[in-house]
Amino acid sequence: MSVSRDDVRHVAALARLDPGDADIERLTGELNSILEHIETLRALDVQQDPPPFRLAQAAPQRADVHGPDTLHGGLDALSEHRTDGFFTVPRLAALDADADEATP
Amino acid sequence: MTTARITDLARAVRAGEHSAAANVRASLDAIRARDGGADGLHAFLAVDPELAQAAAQGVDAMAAEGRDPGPLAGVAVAVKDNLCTLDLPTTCGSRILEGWVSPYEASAVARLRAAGAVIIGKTNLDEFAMGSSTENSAFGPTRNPHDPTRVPGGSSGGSAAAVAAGLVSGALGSETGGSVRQPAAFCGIVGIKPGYGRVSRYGLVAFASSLDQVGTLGRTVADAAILLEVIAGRDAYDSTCADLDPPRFEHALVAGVDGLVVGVPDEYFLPELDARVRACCDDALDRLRSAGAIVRAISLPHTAHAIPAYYVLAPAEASSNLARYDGVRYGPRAPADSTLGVYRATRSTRFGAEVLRRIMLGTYALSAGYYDEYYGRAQRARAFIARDFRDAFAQGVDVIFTPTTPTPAFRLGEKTGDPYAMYLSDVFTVTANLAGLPAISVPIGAVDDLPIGGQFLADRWQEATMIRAAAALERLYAA
Repeated sequence: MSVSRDDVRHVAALARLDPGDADIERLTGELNSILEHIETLRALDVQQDPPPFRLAQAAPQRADVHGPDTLHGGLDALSEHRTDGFFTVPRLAALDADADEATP
Repeated sequence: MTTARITDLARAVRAGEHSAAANVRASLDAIRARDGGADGLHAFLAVDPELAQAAAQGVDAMAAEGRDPGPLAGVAVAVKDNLCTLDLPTTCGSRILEGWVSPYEASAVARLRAAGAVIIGKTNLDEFAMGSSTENSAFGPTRNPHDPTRVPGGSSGGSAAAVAAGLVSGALGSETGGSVRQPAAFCGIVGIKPGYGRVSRYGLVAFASSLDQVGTLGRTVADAAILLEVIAGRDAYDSTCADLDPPRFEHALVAGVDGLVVGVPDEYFLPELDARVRACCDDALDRLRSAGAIVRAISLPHTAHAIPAYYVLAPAEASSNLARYDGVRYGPRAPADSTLGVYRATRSTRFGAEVLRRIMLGTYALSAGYYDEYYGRAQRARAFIARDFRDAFAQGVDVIFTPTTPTPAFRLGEKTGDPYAMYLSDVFTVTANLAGLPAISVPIGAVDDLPIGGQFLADRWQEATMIRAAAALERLYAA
């Protein structure tokens, strides 16, 4: 199974990455090389049911006690800064910096 | 004093025969002498002498007041920089977390402090623990104390180099596929990977959550073991940490191997194994036999699937765990004209090449149409590998002995151009992580003055059995 440059672009978008053309070229070669080795997993007998596998014993349970309800005080208790039913928060500083740079 | 055994050091501090302050001073002097500069080891990413000295004075004050500072009283310990600390930055060796200081502390670190240890600093690692040489650190590689032209192994290479060079008495590392045992072997020290669930991972920055474990490094089996005793045991902050008391290794450290059944898997001694490594292993097995161990050939037939399975599962989990680093919640942020643009720009410019490669590989393996092909098959392989071990232990094998690495430490830059060749450095260690088993690497000689490590693996919750075997083998080499 071969990975194309378009596959790499698609996967990069899924992973919220923005590689340049040179990086896409390099990653395409590297992923194909690594996947070629991983293809050996095909030799596994997929008809045979895998044996049961569990990593650890059951985790300790904490006491089933109802804690304080943080929403009990209503939305105003969380923040008074709201507009049209939405919370308002400061703009990303990076966006402001970007806007400042764009201002003549 | 950093070359003394941990138990002896702590006993002297508790008895008031030696001060924690003097011990910490010796450690800081050693770091100043050997760690900095262009030719330095570069084992540390952060050291705060004032904090360390203040902590040491606190330990000394407790001892002077007749209060017990704990089993690690005044012992200088280093911590891998993917374990969160309140007083020093936690970078994971990555530009994406550069300067980030955690608002909470890892349970393993908190337990060290509670036991009287003094945290000297944070050690270098492959970015987000992804690598086998510490060359993937965004802040430059660490050098091997035995030969500065060679790698210390990785990803816990900073911790291993610091311990091997005598800069500290012991260190914490982390394991996902051999990142404590492989650098321990390359640096000629002892590294322990506890079984999955033995040690809390609260505050360990996640890489691959079904594989990650906090491990310990020391210059002797006893040193690595006492660190494990201190950090192990149930933790309300980590639901994957087993509800078990911390183990005690006092008896295991002196028990010897008479009657112990040591399994030697054919699949780890293939014809292509470096003949010098094989010779060291043969010698170690001869010594074990001479001490009364019963050495038995065994088979772990699915071993060949371990590296391919690991390099599907670990990147898949990493691609999910590392999605949180987007420039909004942690660390620096790259400017862009949209929220998605901020995510993309920050991640693309701040992650290093190996991390990007693994995120891409993992995202591909989990993407629609390929999940069954890769992730599904890898999970099946993992189940078969775990069954191989269960079968071996069910047939009466107490511990399994293998080489820790296929070669001695390689040269800096030797494998950076071939990712898969680098991945094969972990060929003998990833199986323990896949199966969730405990394992230990212990020195078994040297080749051209480069240390070689031998590995013991044990059944789940049987850390004491592997420590028993490793301590006995260590004595056989000291004799």
